[in-house]
Amino acid sequence: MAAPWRGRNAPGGRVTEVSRTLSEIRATCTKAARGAGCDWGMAEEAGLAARLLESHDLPGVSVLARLLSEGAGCVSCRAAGSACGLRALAVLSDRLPFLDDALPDGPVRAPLLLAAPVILLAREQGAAYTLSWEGAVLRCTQEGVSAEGAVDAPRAASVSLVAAPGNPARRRAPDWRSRSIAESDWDTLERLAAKTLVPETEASRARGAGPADAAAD
Amino acid sequence: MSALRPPDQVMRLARMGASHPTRLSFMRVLLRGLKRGGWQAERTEWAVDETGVGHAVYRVKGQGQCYSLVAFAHDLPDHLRSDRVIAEAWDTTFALMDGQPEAADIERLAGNVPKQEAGRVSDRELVLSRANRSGRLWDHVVSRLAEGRQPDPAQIDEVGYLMRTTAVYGSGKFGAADHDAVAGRALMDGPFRVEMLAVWLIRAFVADLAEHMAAVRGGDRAARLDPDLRRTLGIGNATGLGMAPFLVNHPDLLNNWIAARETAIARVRALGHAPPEAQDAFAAALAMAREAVSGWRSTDPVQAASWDALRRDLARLSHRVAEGALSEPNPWDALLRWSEAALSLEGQEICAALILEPHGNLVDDLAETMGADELSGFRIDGAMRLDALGKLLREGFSWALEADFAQDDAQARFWYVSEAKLEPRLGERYAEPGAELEQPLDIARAAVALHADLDGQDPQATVADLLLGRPEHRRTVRRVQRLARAPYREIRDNLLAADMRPVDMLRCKLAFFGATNFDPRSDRWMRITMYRGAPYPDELHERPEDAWLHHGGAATLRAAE
Repeated sequence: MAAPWRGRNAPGGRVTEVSRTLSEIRATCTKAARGAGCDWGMAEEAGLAARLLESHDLPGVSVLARLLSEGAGCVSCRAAGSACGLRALAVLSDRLPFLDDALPDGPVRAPLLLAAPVILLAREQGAAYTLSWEGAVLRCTQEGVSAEGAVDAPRAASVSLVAAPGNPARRRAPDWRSRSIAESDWDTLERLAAKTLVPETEASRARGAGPADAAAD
Repeated sequence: MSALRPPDQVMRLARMGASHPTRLSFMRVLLRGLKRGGWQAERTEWAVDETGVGHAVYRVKGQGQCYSLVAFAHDLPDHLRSDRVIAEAWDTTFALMDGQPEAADIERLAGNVPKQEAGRVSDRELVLSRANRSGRLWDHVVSRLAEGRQPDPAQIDEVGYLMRTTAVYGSGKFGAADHDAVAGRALMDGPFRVEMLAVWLIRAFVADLAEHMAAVRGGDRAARLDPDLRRTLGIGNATGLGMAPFLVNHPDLLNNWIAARETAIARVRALGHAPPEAQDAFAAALAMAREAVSGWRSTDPVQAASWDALRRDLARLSHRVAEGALSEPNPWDALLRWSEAALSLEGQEICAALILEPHGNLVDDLAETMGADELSGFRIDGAMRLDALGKLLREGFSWALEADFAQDDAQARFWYVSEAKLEPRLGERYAEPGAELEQPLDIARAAVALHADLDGQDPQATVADLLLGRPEHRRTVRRVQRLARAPYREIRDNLLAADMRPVDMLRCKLAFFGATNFDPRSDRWMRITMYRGAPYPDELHERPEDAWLHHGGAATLRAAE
């Protein structure tokens, strides 16, 4: 049996980290997915998934950052040899609670993202599901998630999802607190998010957005 | 209960832009709760020097909780004072902390809070904010107090506050605790409760700081603010476009706020008669509103005309009530029906707000329904057939499908986030670059696009099938499906239209906060006043509960003499 997922703060890690809140994670991941070429609806899925996974102490940010930096994000979805985890997430989310045809047949990049709609479904239904691929198992219940193995795998040869009643042994209930994020992942996301910004022009500066300078009164 | 007002009536921008605060507004819910819950507030630290620089701590405790406002006062040269969200220095900066600060916390916050967006707070903080002086009124009040005199009530009326906040950040911004931090906590688990608590304490700090500066200048001669006069000082706020997308990006909250207010109105309309005490309470609230509205001014010509119309409306409403309108059967429903025929949108909406005033026992419980679980219902129902989706779209978005996006005016604007300021902006599509980086506020246009693409699809096919090939409709499909369960989720106007006024969105949100004295300075930013007439922390339990919806300032003070 695979070892329990130890979380991002496992001893021995040497990456520089920054602390981020769940709402910062959701906002930045949404913009990054959009900046990477996703439609807004898909970008919303990405932001929520990262937030939801991180709230269960699963590495949603690093998995998403790697997926989005691998190519041009959703723009490359249709061309890639293995299914994009984000697109697969959307298809799975739309098929649930039915499990037939809900998952790609072959390899999936960033398979952890598929846990997000499963966690939402478990929460809605009070049901339990097991999502697994070679070397990793996630049990999602109404109360929380237990994870074992390489949940941050960049790619899974194939993914399976089954209804699996019963409570997991070591489940992680959602936690609202700030968490440590690898600075390099955050930089990747912010670079992509910056692609959604519009450079200022003389006209836009003059038109303004808010309160004028008001020292006089 | 009578029927709720339909979304096609309530969710139009023009009407949202005529919103007024009610019993369910967050400031009033908060102060009612603090009083009923026996919360105690005190200033636990005052370390402000003779130049007005230093810090102070205000602590509130109740219902097993404790929060502290850590306030920093700075020496800001006049030329750096700016209300723009992009400013880099302020007269005062604040953090609301969960619990009580230790010396190390003060030091940590002193290194970050004065920098605002450029600093970082921790998840022990719930709110980050700052405020600037109203130069004119600040100088008047401090110099009068220093001379041992009280400030002129008429000058207070002209501005309404000593300082105005230029941002109040909560919910996980800049490192502060996520909103889920207050989940399950009595009183504080609701929309903007901790933010409104911070603002209430900021108002207290600002009055204390003015008295402190007067004492520095005047020594023994200096006076303190007369409590009645002090109460006429609210706390100001200047708000721009940054707030506008909130209502579009948090549709479940918008729905729950509007649904709570509309349910309250419907409950009151269903009453068969108005007992004398309810009639008296309504008359008192109406009189207060008339006094307050008599002083409302705006430099914006559209709003200035609306205030004139509102003054006429309130005179007619008073006349109608004096004639005995409330002694008839179904008086509240009849009054609202009359208002819809006789009054402007401003008049109709303030009338709807005022009929709630006598009915706290009937409506106040609805305040607890105004939060939203934004996760539940996020998933798209992929099994829904396309003919069912089309039906929902035509029913819920008929207002959108009417727009003709072949006309330039229908999409004259685009919403974007500026690279330089990281702030939402509104661009002119045909005159400025950047429309390809548009933010998703094109709800109406996207609904039209979905409607067009549903034509020719197999009606038996599912939403999941559609989205497989057309992922660009994902956002709109989610909104269409959710609207069926939450009818007040969508602003029923085209937010790209040439004649759209963003201040209407700000006005609606700020009315739910409990703001008054709305003063648009253009079609995209406005000043407001918060907590005008409200008790200060040191008098909360001595003052009557919830008697400050509108305060007429000097006029009200004269009437009380």
